[in-house]
Amino acid sequence: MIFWLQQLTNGLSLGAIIALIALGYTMVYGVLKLINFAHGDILMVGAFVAIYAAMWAAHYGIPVWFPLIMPVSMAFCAALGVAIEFVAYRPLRNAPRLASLITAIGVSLFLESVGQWKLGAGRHAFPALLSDHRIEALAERYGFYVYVSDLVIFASTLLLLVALQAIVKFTRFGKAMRAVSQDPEAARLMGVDVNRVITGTFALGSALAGAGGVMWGMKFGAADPLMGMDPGLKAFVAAVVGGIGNVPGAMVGGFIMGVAETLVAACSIPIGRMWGSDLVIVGSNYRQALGFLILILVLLLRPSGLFGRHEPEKV
Amino acid sequence: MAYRPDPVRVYGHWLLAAAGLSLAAAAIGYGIPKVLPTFHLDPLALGLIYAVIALGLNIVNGQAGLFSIGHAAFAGIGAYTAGGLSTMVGPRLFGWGPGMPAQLDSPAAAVFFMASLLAGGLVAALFGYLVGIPTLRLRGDYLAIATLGFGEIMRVVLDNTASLGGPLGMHGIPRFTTYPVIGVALVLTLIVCRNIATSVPGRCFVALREDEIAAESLGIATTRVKVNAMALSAGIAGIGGGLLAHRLGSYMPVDLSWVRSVEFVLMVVLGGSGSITGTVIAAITLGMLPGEMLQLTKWPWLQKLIGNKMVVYSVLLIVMMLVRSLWFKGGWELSFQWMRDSAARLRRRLSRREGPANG
Amino acid sequence: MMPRIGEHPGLVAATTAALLAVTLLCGCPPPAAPESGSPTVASTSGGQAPSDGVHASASVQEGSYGDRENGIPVGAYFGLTGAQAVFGQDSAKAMILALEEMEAADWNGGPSIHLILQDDRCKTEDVGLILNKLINDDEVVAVVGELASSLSLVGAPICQEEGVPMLSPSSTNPEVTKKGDFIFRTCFTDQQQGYACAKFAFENLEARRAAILYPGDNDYSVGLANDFTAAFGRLGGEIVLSQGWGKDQQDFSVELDRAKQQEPDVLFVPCYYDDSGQLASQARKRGLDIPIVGGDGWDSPDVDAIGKEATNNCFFANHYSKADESPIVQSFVKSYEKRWGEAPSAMAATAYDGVRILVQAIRSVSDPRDRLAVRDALAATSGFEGVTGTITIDEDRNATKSAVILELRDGEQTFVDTVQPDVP
Repeated sequence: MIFWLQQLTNGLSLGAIIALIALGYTMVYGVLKLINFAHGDILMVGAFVAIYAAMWAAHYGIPVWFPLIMPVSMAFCAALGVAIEFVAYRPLRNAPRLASLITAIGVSLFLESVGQWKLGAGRHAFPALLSDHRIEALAERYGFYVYVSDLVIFASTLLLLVALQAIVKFTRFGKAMRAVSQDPEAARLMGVDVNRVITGTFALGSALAGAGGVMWGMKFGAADPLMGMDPGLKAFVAAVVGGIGNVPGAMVGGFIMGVAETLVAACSIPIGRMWGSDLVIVGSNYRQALGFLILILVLLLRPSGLFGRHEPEKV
Repeated sequence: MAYRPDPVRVYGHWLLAAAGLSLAAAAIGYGIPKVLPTFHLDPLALGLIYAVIALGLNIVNGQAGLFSIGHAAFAGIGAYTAGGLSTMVGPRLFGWGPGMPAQLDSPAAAVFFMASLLAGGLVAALFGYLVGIPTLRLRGDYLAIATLGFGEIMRVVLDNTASLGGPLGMHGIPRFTTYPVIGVALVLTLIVCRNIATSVPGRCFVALREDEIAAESLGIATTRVKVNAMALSAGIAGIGGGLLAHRLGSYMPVDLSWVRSVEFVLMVVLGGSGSITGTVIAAITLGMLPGEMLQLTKWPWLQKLIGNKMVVYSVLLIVMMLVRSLWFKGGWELSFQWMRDSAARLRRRLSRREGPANG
Repeated sequence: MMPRIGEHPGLVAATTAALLAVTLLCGCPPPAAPESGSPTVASTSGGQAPSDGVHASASVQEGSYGDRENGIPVGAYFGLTGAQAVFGQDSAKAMILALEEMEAADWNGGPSIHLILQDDRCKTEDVGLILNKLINDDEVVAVVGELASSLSLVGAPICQEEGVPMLSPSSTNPEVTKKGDFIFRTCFTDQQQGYACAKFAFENLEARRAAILYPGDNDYSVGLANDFTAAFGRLGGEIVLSQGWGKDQQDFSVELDRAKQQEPDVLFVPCYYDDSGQLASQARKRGLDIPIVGGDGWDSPDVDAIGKEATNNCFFANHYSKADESPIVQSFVKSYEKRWGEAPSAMAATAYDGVRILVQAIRSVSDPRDRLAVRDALAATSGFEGVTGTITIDEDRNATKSAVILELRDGEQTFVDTVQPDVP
């Protein structure tokens, strides 16, 4: 029982970060209808900015503290996101959507290879920005491990979600964002500066990726130039499961991905060997495959994701 | 008096086309290796094989407007099937062993090789069909993610299948894919793609891409057409994968990953989605690029200037997309009609220029 | 209000340029970074200021090294970019170092060497392209490569067919050298290493129940896991759990919890050094304090950097011990650190030996451009004193040498035991 409760906790703490990253995916998609493949790599940049910021801070005697480092990362990533949008996506605004998808892939490759080139391909230790103490009472009595850092990550994710919802729902900018997402042309006619909204969306989304990068690095203790691929893909899937373009949906999708993958990995039921391979119904070897299987099943039952609006075709 | 078609006019076209295509296959198969310096041959061969796979993808991605990021998996299924036949059944029938110089020394062996390629294509088509039935009701990006998921599932399954090599992959596949084989395969693929594009199914695909509801109201069974497009496209990709496996001599689960699928999408998009000519040219360009970039070691100053080739590759990719308006327009094809038209246009332009000079 | 960025293209362009410049330059360490990059690492206790957690090391690029005009051309193919770039980078760095040293010291006399280093991006299709170019265009006498067994198996048949000696410094899969008489290796095989690890776990650690965790998409790890399973079972132990994890996975909490549930005496983790430090630190965090045993893939400064205190009570099989007093080991470790600003990994050590064995063979034959003669000289290698031990190439073209078991203690490697390669 404790084992499964523990796995649920593991899943939720992984899901929290995935959800955070998925938020950025879903926002950019909602406004631009663009799958921003570079999102995961912006996350990587965020993690490295945190490493260097921590180093500089330590050098100048500034306390290396999570609430100080994280905004630096987020700000840098926001600027990077805006720059990427300006260079790679804006010129293709009126081109077929596949064209900007390809530049997104190009940007992703660019960030990865510059990282491998200039930072070295190896894995870098990530500074401990938060205490990694566990709640001892639970650990001693039940063997159930809950970490302070996980709780902080969880809380930050929820906080950021609420903040984001507030921006989207209650500010002028959020209103403009929703308008552009519904119909960019009509929004422009109503006097919304579409370009500015898109820039702002990219800044917000990329800042979230930066935050995700810092948390990912902190949770797993390391960063490398290709680290963005796995969380990027998972977050992308999470965003789709939740109904891409939908903010709470991305959140729920992230938690579903985290928990499902963890639970799937936790129960492995070997049923023998056939053709030289271990036949397990589920299990850690197949955890990534099962994540995608869940995705496909969800899509078959709800073709626009869990919370996605089903848009009837208009003629 | 009954209408009697002139046999020369009817069959002459066929004969001419057959002769022209055989000539093209021969040119690729025997001409290119004679003309081109050796170190361009290997990259070009890869480019031509990629062209086969990209042409397969072009059917769903370009013509039918269905976005698939899972074609590396279909190619991989074809590769593993054909490669498996050549490494497991072939040795028993023809005594192909590991380390043996691979040659198709008997007609029976050649037939077996062709059959295994076809089998790879069929199995891939079957998978395309099975994947297509449930997923093709999804739209746009959702379909893309579903196909991506399928590809990743295949990769994980292969990673965990020890009898197919696990993560080590399948090795010792005889390297039968020589230039003549590529030439024949590419020309046959081109014929299939061209004929489909200009016949009823192809028109259905395009109608579907342009407006699904309108297509449906015209009596097109959209789901069936989509599934057919997917199966056909997967089948061609599977044949391409078989060719690739017999060129490289190895195939690994990594080769099925979505990153690889994206490379094929790149070729189709860069070629101006839907255009057969553009897809072939883009596939050859992108396919040759990594091989040609190896030559950089010969010019140290250039190497130093460039620094890291993957950075250059990614920048090239972005720039190519940004100036895409200079590239191919979707739907443009290299054809006799286009050549005639542009020759006429050129003549007109020349005569117009002469016009004012004469007064 | 949002900054009105979109309305100032000039501002945005400037931001872009600045950002790209920063991105490109962020390889430079801040002023406080230690000169030699042996990383001292963030303490894991909360709130403390981390010191340098990043070893700033530029990466090696594709290109030609050494005497371009008159040197004997030797090829090398590694993944210098791509998924497993870190291993290719380490090997390439060691090869360049070995070459520079040999040229400077005029080692063994004989012709100078022209090394053509090519990057296969860890991709199947690039291997064939590269070998074709190296063999037919650059006319190399021999090639060094690949690291991953899966990619060596792509290259081996090509080299065998073309009659070019190929020497893999670190492909441990037994199949590689079975591809023909031109294919050599200068490291031990999975069987030897799996046996060494199993024997150490069973006899020295007195473990009877072992749990195995490995990356399921890595051929090295899967091979080693299988051979450990076989050897441990033969010795009389029991494998209570054998579980793979997925591609690029960094969260091992579930796998570790499952292992903990089975109450094993020892954890065998045959992964590479990019994962091992992380896994060890996560294991300790989850209260799994049993010994962890790994293979030669663990040998790297990164392991200690990422999981410093957590790597206590961790052991791994290796080719050599850095603490070995023998002059060749000490001079290698020192000169590598001086040249590249970081401590060498196992990949570096094996590649260093591999290229030296090859150069020795090339310099020992009368016509250094004769591939067959070089092949014969390689096959006759016997008692070569390398960093990774005394290497003798046996009749199966594998290297026979003993393995050492090292223990990690506060990030320091200490010698524990030597295991002879006599697999029963």
